[in-house]
Amino acid sequence: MCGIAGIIRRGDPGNIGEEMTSMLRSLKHRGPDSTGFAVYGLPEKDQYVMRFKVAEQEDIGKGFDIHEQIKDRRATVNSRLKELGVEILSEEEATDYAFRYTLRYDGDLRRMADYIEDIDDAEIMSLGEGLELIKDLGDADVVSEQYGLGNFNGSHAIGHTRMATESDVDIRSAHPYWAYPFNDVSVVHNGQLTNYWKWRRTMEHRGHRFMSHCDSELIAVYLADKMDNNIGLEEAMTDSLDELDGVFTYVVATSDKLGMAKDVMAAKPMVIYESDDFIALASEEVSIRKIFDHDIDTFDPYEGEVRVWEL
Amino acid sequence: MGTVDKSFEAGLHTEQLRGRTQQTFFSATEEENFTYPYNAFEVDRAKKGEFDAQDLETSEINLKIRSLMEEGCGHIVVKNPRAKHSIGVGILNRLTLDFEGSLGYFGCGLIDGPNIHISGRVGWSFGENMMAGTVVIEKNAGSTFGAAIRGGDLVCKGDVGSRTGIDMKGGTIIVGGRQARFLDS
Repeated sequence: MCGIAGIIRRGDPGNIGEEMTSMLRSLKHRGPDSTGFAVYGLPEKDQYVMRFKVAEQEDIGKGFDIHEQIKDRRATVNSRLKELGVEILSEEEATDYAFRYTLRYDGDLRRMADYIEDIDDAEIMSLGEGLELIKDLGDADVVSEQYGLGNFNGSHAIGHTRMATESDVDIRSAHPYWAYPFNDVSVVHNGQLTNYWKWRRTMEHRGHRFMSHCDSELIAVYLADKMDNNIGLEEAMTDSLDELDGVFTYVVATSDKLGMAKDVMAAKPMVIYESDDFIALASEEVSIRKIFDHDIDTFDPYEGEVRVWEL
Repeated sequence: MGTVDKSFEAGLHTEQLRGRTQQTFFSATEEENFTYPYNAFEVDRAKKGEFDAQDLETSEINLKIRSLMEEGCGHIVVKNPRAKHSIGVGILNRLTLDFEGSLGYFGCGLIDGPNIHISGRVGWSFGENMMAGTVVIEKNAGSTFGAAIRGGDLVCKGDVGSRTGIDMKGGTIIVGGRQARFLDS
């Protein structure tokens, strides 16, 4: 049991950081292990935002000499970026081990991502023009405060509260997942995939990278593989209903779209509110009601349903 | 003595089948069919009680409904339930209950007797294991609507989700809107 949520503000960007925090706060009972946000800010021209970590939270508590190692790893990241000709515009320290860089780069993103993740324990959470992906252990309030999300303006967002059932409780197994190496694509998932290993092997043969043993990462990789073959988001999501096995409901966001898919057994919940300029979806209606004062109409999608909204 | 006679002598035919809602063992002369056998409250339908559930937790709302019934209220109005889960469960009483708003998951489960009206929407597994009574929902319902109900009437004026009436043993579910695909076929 996990909680997932998504919001779109059409044509009227607002404080989605605060809204998503209050949505996830009310889903805490669905999973208190970790919380993740994928928020889409207002992109600046020719500029990428990269969020990455160089250590796990638990390493900080017990790792020998970890603070020195973190410094070294970060210095290596910086020097490798320079080596590739990436211009670092700004550096921010969100926590001791997670950083936010803004970059200017016109080369191959996959090559750059691979080169950075080659460093010990370095993982790129997200890389994109608008997307910023934030995930850590703790509930929505803890993570939101730690990463200063209370005041984040943007157009759309997805979020996740996790109850770990298939893999460890750490940052690398937390949602959302970035669909490496496609900029601005992220996924959150509630459910279990039963043909994970079959697909993981297939995907590894095709050269995709897995950072965790979390089955939800497969959805991100699966969609990335489809996009690699120039298959559109909606079509890829429809294919996933046949090709992925298990019970699942997942939400995907790209720079200009947000979509949801529900498996044919419809065992994982989803409630949707839809109006002309605002769309909100979540595992439970309490979550949607947190951001509305007035009464609203909501509905459940059916089994095997895929919906994609454009911004 | 034949085997049949022996069984009568042994008292094997004295059992009376009874039940108010599920099947046909209904006899108008039996007092039991018109009284609530559980620890039901004596309520007066003309006596109205209402409260605002905006800042109350699930258990506080359910206890509040119970305490109003104890006071003899036969008509209870709950304002602003705001889609909280497990509200209005386990009501084994005659009662008119109005919710002004929406309910979350597992609303009004395990009920026997009340007449409920909901002006909003309900989440999944609404009215699970309902024994008797009537429920009218003005908007949509979630998945597994009326799961395992054994009696009573469940009316949803809007759409219902997947697996409506799963494991249903009796009673009636009436849907005004769309329903999941398996009910079409």
